[in-house]
Amino acid sequence: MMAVLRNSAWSTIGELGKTTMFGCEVVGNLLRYGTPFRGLLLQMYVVGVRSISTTVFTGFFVGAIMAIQIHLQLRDFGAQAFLGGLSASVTLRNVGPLLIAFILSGKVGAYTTAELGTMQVTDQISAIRCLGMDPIRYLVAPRFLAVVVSSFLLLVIGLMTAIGGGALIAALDLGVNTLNYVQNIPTIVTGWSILTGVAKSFVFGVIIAAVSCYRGYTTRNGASGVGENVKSASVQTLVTIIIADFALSNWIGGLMDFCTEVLGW
Amino acid sequence: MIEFKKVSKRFGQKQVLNELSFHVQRGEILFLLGRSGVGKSVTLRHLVGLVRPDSGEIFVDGREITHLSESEFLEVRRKCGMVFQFPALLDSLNVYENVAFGVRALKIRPGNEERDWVLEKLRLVHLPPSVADLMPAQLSFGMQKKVSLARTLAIHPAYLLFDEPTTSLDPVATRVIHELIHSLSRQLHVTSLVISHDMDGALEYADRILVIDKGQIVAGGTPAQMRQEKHPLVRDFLGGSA
Repeated sequence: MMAVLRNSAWSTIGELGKTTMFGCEVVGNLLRYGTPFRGLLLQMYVVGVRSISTTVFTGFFVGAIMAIQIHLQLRDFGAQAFLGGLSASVTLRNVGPLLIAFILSGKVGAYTTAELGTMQVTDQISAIRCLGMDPIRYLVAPRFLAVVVSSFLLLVIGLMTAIGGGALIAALDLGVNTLNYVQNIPTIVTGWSILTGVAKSFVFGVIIAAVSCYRGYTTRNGASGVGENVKSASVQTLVTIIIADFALSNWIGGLMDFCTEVLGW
Repeated sequence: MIEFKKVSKRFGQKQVLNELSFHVQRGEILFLLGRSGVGKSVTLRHLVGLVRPDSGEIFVDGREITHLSESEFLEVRRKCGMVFQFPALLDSLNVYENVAFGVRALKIRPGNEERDWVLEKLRLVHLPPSVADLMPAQLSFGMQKKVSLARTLAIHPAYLLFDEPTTSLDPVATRVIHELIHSLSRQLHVTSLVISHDMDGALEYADRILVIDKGQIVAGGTPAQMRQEKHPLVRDFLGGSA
């Protein structure tokens, strides 16, 4: 049992290392050569614009669920006045980025892995190499950047929708005045809350891009290999996002304490 | 000239190439025949650096390419145009963009000459200009193969490497592709190395035929010589083509 766990841990660490190396290679390539703007826009349309409805839908319900759950807790203490600030803060800092990133990894990430994986097993990537070109530069880099930018923007859209969803459900179902709900938000949601949400959105976007591109690019063994790598990419993305969420929560919390207590900001 | 000298390659427990040695003369059409899984495609992939040998040496025009870096391989890949078993066209680009892809990236022709160059390559593979705006999914498999060939021709290679070019094609399309390989090789003065298991096509269109088994060349010669060959594997292939 221990041996299985140890092997699994080493395998996970190894894959994380390879994914990081691959991500660095793609970023290096982007910094050196850039990427064609037209290709980037096309990819952003494919992976980003087509995911807006899913993100808005998910974001709305994430916000609504948060409002309902927090309202249940606050009601016992008669503190419903804090509903707007608390639900927005929890949504912005953690639950929103995490849940929306999970949805995007299933949509944007799986699409990218499957597309690059199919290109790999049908020799499209080999054909690019045989035409004397670097497939990282021509195929992977535009997708990587498009996924990072799209995921980040979608997460921000999703978070804003989540706050809207919370306010709407509070007014329609929980009997909390919308104006009170919104006015309470700035009392609890600080610049740090927004920074945390934005930072997590960016990092989660990078993770979705790096894992999906790496898994797609390293696909082998035909159609079954594509299916296997899409599955592996989903699992790896979710695990990496949770680990990153833990690390970011700690780091940003520590940074916030340092800035407020030591620097007096 | 292309030359393999005692090239070996192993994937896991399987010895795919076992001190394989052969050469391809400038201007000739060489068919490399063998059963499935004996290392034919792996042999071809060594020439474009998609697979690296465990031991042995490979020469292209006298230059040893075995240990070239990825960037150093670019020049070899421009010289050795590969046509894959499956067309490997980029799904998101139309026929014109697919053929022009390498032309632009490698700056084969200035921008104002690009269209004529691309349409000329389509014409060479017997495709009308009207297909240029179509997407790969709108073409038959045989037409996709021709576009794939046009894309390779567009980078003006000295060597054409065909990986089972007639797989999944009906007899008529097979004949058309074989005739294309033959006519293009003669017309453009390129050297062609064709991986196949079609003895009929090899006997009709090859200058020379080699038969590979268990990672080694077991028989070889001109089509006339191969018809007299006594090796059991060659006899099996000839039996199939009788």
